[in-house]
Amino acid sequence: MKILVVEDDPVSLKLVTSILKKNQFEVTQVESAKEAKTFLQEEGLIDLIISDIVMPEISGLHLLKYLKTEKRLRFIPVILCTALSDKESVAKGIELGAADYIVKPVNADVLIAKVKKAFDRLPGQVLVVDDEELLRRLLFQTLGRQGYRILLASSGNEALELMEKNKVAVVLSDIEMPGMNGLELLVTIKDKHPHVPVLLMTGHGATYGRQDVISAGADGYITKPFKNTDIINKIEPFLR
Amino acid sequence: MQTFDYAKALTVTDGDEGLLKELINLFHEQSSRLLSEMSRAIDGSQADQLQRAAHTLKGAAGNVGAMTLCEVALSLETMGANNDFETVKASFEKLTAEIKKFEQETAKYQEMSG
Repeated sequence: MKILVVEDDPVSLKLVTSILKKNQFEVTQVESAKEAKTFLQEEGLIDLIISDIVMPEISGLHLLKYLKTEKRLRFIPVILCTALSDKESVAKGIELGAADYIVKPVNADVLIAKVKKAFDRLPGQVLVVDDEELLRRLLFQTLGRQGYRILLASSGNEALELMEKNKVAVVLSDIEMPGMNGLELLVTIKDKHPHVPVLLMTGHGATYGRQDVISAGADGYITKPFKNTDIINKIEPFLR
Repeated sequence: MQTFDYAKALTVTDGDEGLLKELINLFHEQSSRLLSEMSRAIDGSQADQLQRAAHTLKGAAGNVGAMTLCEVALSLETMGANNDFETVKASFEKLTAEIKKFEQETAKYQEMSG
């Protein structure tokens, strides 16, 4: 898990970073909200942000506001780091969508417990199952831009394996695939993970129509070629 | 209230003495910068800058067990927040003296533990 720590005080920065590294987290550290923005615009692959509130130029609350309005970054949980005296900012931060807060001086056990809790509460990932590489890549790009975390599988079996090890919020699967087809995958998922919604995609004029798919227990049906917005509108409700 | 609460500082680093030493060194580098920032803010009656620099110093001090410093920095932070410069000079002197004291005490500790 990759964590970005934003803190202008080098002492606190060092402390938080050391605690996280000791607990096997991968850490990137920056000393201002501005640097954090640049980093996220260029890299963006971060699972959690821990940010100080009081910083020169851009405050932690402003950074938080920015993150929550950026489509691609809005799901990244943010833990605010603050002095005990600063109750007002904490309240405002929670209102703005902070996942949690931690009081300075940071206690190692509390920090790790809160980080783990934030990860547990992350909206799950979108599992894309398609045997065509082009389509997997396309969906990875378009869904990634929405801020979704994505898992890719090229077959039903691979999808089931990934579901054993990862938290999946919704499955988006092709129907016509070699080996296990989408309908068989649907049945297995509904048996093993009954709470995970499954959306099925199929080519125009395919063997299975909307009615077959819905009566087999799918939570939605998408016809290829699809518009990005169609897919997003169908997925979004499952990630809230 | 102690100038250097070693036990408390160790709880912050979870018993890691090496890390505590690093933090103390970082604190010394950081505090001289913040002191001059605060001094400039006081001279120019810039309440925001004073508040922010005092806030940062308070946070850093809390990490290294500088408990008295924490208190004095908090009083300066409050003065900045209230735009109250009446007794700011006296508090700033107290802060400067306390930082010196903290440096001396931690120097002893750094020597002792090698």
